[in-house]
Amino acid sequence: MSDHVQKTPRQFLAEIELLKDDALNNFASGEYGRLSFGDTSKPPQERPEIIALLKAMVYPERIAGDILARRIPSIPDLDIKERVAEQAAEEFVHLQIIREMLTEWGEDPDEMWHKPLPELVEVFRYVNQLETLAEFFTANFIGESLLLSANLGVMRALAPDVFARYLDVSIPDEAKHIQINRDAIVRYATTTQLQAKARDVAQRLLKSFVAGYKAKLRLMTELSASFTTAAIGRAR
Amino acid sequence: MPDERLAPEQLVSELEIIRDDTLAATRSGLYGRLTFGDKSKPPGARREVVAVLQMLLYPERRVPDVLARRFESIPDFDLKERTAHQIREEIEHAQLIQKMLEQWGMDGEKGWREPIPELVKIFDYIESLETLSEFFSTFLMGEGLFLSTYLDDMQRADPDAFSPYLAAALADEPGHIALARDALLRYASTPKIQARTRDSAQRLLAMFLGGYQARIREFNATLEVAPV
Repeated sequence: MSDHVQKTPRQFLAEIELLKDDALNNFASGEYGRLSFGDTSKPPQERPEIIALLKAMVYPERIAGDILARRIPSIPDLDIKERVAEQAAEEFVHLQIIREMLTEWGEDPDEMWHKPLPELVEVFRYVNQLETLAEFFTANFIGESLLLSANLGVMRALAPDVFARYLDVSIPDEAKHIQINRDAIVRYATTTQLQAKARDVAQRLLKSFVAGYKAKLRLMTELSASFTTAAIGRAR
Repeated sequence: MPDERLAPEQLVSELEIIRDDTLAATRSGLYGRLTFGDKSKPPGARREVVAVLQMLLYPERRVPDVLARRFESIPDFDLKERTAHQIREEIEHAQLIQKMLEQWGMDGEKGWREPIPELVKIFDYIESLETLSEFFSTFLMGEGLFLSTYLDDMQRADPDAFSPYLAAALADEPGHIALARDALLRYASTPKIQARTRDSAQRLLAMFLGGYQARIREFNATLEVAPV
């Protein structure tokens, strides 16, 4: 079916779901690299990969609430507005959990709020300036679906105890947030033109998310290497 | 004295005293009174109940947008989270009002499409305020008066007629007042900001009374009775 053929909103959502599923297959196959969390015999605060990932996640959890709140006045439907407001509150709960974990481990929880990964900044800058609700919720659908499966799910699988406090809250919430996006796409992606714009957004967000994911892996590797160098220095 | 820095607690107490004085005057009937009609009739058949709910819809729908626009400028995570909860709760209140009106066969959105101009001006004013201290001062005054002049009266007169909206609003409004209070304690920190906060609070009070009188006037016009 051509991109320019009018689809029902549900057909359009199905198309975006397929796009997302293809991307998730690529994540699962390791095409973009794999998360790993270091030496499991050590406590989490001595594993630089864990520290690096949580620090990198502070920026998304903190900026997401602001971006959602800014969009609320333009949402015409009260049920969607209400759920987006609830999501904004939940993002701050997630943020607070991550900050508490980092603080308890003796780390500066706001280090990467002040110096975020540029690739993550770009993802949220892009989402924030999207014009229509169809584009906005499509971007969030892609971003949160990939976050849930390619990040949170992997964290749960590889280091459940380490991340439990955060994941026990964030995984159920993210599933809810993805459903809000689905419902909003069905509500607002109603014309051929809106669907075409939202389709472009989905493609671009997929690329941006992969770039952000690779940036997190890079940070984890760099921090791990600096820990190792420091440990060798101390041993000498 | 405006140039003297008060402890934020003192400023909040000062504003609460002014608000409570205004509330006492309102309670005395100085600015008119709401009435709720013949309790032997079902609420949907009472023009008084319908008119009150239609009037309350505008603030319940406008407040979440006003808060959402201010959200990004709030620096503290705990207050941000509570603000997000308030946004959600206000939207829920609006939904409840609309559902009740629609269940009674009324236009659920009339109060939003055709608001009282005095009410629109109040929220335009709040949106124009520059600092968080000024912004939250208007909520300390407005939410406190809203709770006491409307919701408490409705609760005393005929709680069943206004349920489920009233039950939800009564449960949530104290938390909204507490949020405004806590934000003022955090942000009303310099003599200059305190002076501006005092001004915004007093202006909001005057506007609230104007809005209240306008609501009574409109309410009476709706009921085709003599103005108060």
